Amino acid sequence: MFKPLPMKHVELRLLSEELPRFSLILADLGLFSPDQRPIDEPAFGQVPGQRFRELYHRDRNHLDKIVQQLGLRLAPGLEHLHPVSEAELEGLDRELGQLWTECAAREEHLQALTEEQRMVDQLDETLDDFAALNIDLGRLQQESAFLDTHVGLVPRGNLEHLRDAIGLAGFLLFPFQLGETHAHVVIIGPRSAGEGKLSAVLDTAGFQALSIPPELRDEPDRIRQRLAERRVALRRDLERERTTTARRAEETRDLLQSALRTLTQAEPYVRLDSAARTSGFLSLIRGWVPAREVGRMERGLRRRLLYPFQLSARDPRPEERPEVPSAMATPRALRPFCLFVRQYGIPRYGEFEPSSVFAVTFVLMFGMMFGDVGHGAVIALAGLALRPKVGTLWLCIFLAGLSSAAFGFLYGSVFGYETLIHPIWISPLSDPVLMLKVALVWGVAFLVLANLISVHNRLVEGRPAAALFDANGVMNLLFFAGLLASAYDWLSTGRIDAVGGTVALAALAAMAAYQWVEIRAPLGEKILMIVIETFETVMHNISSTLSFLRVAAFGLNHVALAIAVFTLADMMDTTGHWITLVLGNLFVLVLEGAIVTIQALRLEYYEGFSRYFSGDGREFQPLRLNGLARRRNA
Amino acid sequence: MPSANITRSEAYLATRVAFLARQLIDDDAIEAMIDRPLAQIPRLEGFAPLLEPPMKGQARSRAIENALIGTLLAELTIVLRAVGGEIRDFFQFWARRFELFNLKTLIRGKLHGLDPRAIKDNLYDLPPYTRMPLAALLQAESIGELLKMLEPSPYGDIARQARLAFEARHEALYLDATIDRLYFGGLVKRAERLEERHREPLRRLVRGLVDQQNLVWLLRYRFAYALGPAETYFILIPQGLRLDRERLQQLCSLPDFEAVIEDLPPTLRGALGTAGTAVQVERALETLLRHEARDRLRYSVSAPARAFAYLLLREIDLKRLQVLIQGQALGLAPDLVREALGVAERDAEPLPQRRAS
Repeated sequence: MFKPLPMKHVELRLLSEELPRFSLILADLGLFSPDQRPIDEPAFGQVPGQRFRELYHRDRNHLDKIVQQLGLRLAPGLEHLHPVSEAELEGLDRELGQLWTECAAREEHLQALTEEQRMVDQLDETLDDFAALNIDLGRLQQESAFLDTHVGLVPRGNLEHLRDAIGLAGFLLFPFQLGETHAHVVIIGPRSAGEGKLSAVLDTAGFQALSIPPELRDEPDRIRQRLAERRVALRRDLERERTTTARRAEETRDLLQSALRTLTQAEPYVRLDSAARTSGFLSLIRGWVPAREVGRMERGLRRRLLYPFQLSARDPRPEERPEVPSAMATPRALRPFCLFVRQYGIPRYGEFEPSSVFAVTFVLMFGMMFGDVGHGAVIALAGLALRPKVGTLWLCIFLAGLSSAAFGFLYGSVFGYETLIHPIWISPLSDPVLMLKVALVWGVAFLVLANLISVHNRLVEGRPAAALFDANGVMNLLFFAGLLASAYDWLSTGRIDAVGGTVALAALAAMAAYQWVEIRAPLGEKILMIVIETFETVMHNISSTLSFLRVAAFGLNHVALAIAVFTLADMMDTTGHWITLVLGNLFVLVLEGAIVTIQALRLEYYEGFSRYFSGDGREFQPLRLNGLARRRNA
Repeated sequence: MPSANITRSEAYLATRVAFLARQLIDDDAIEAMIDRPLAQIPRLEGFAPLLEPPMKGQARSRAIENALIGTLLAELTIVLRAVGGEIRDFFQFWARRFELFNLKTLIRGKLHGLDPRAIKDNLYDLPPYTRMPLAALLQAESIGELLKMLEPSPYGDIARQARLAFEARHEALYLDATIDRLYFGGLVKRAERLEERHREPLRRLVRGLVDQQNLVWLLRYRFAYALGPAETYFILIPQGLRLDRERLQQLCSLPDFEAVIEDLPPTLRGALGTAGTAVQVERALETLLRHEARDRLRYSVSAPARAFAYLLLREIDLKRLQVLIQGQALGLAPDLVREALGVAERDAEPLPQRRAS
């Protein structure tokens, strides 16, 4: 619960022909994460299944594109596991290749029709502008012995540059309609000047020639009528294509479901990648398995593999720690809070897993900042009501609501009324200084806990020096203690206690000395970095502690908002009074609820996680049969 | 003292750049490295293992390039962290050129029908903040599909026009030129958007870079590939510092290499000295750019301009180091390496006047 599961590094030796079956069984068990690091044993130099992987990727690529083009949603079930052979993938490659050729052709046809539709629309729009040219458009299309004429579209960004470029070939460019992305242009020049060079420039500039239809020489009304007829025909063609697509989707559904099933069963072997090495008939596979599951995995393999195999397991070596994946065994009740932890990152192997601390402190801080029996009850009920829509997150909302209600009893606050029930502890506004002091003590406890977790994590990593002298190590705890003692003396007696001050300075000096040894940089930069880092350590401790004053401030803020709502309500008549109260409470609930959530998360992430949680661990991602609903094990 | 004018928010960037600038290598330092084995050169000792077996051929070149580009991008990341708003946008756009290198490699790979793994081996390793979906692009079955996949990305404009250019003419040369033209156009546009204090020095550097690109392309495409004046002009970028659009049009119309060199503005003409080939012109212009960038790095009041000048100089330095390392890897004679680095000719280099901005 407090740290990732202990892992074992596992090495398996088996016959190479069993690899597809072996990887499939591993994926079915969901316990094995491949270790892709290079291997030292020269005998196992080759990575098997190169062709298999190529085929898999090509098939998968084709399948994805086909499914997207046909607009299908595939969800095949799986009753029996069956290892996929290379020959099977070859066959699939041919089938999917043919189908993709067909789909690609249809897609191109659809695109051409859409493009033509757009052209018809543009022609319609540009008809007036062509008319504004006040020339016989037919002449632009006619071959001339002296004039070379082009009409078409140019990307707006290339317009000026193209004008300058073709000017060098003796051509002139006239834009006659400027669209958002393209300009309609006429390009005219002497026929002898271009000598074919013009078309090279036009091609590079993305010039798209517009053929002026003979209809444009006709009456505008008749032209528009013809364009409308073309549009109808195009719409009919498009509809026909879509019907064909839908029909082909149904016809090929079974084939594609089967292809997806095959590829899903082939995927585990592909994902083994360089974790599997072969020396011919014999293969070596390496990976990570939770220590408590090694036996189950071995039994599963013995039962289902055709030939014998050899398995050896060992503990991770210290130098391997960054490579070891972290497998969490989070209790069910904490899982919704894991989502917030994952937003920050994955714990390294052996590091403290902060979900439990996050759950307790987040719920407590939410309640402290938003203590109200009525609002808390509404939030808790909202959590229950939203259960089908927000998944496991409902529990976070529910617990936050309960905490809010519990603190409401402590503060004696119900929907902002401070007099309906007697506070078990204190009404926040009756002694704000006490509230601030309590928040400060909470903050100190929170920061000390975060610092202790950081020390634990450094020790687990095998870095005792960092645990002692790092920014969140033992020395920082001493500095923090000295700082707090000095501040307390100064505030209570007006003087700084010599012991506290000395401890703080000595701890700070020890941290600076550690950095001097650790930092590898030229002398000037080294000094600059240490000065900045030391200053940062001092400021960070002070600002982090003061940051927790917001816990009290938002508790006070809740009462102040309630007073504002009541003041407004008291200015109204009876009906207005109740409407203002209801709307005011809703406003407080939504606005303050959101702000308090953000503030509590901010304290967790910036004052908590940033001190001890690196978040750069590797998540345990075992081989699995992704995307298939498994109905029954083979 | 110019630094007194730097606002407080730029002080950090200026300080970082000042520290980073201590890594720059002058000609004397590079000269001293030529005859020494890599293992004995402190800043290059990390490259020594790349010269040993089993590293060889293209894999070794790629590993060296990746290491050098990694260094450059790490320093660019330092700069990016220190800036915000439109200045950040400018530097981020500058970082995109490394992604465009990858895009060009992808296109060439697809054009030659290489399989995705072979293409992937030739791509640069870029930091995670870059945004080109390389894994998806590798799976594209054609160049058209590849460029279409890029259209919804920040590279949309470049991809759209590149696709049109490629569909019209299936030649990598025009595709490369279109991508570069649009990229540099975008970079100039971003420099122009900055506030006056940063705009002036940055635009001089960017437009100077455009001049270098333009002149080399002009000479290469017009006279080596024999393209016509209009076609050559169209692939150039009409936003240079000394080579503006009128001057470019005029140069494109000239009949031969010598006439173009003679017709250049005096500063460029002087910088070229006796350069008689496109490669020599490229090297001479790089020397000019180095002088100008050093000038900005020392005297500019704009910290982003100093940072950009530093990045330009660092990139040139790293290219020179690459030549040096490759020279040792291939066992080239020191004189040949010296010639490739251009240090043999430096006595003849012109030294432009210092110009504060």
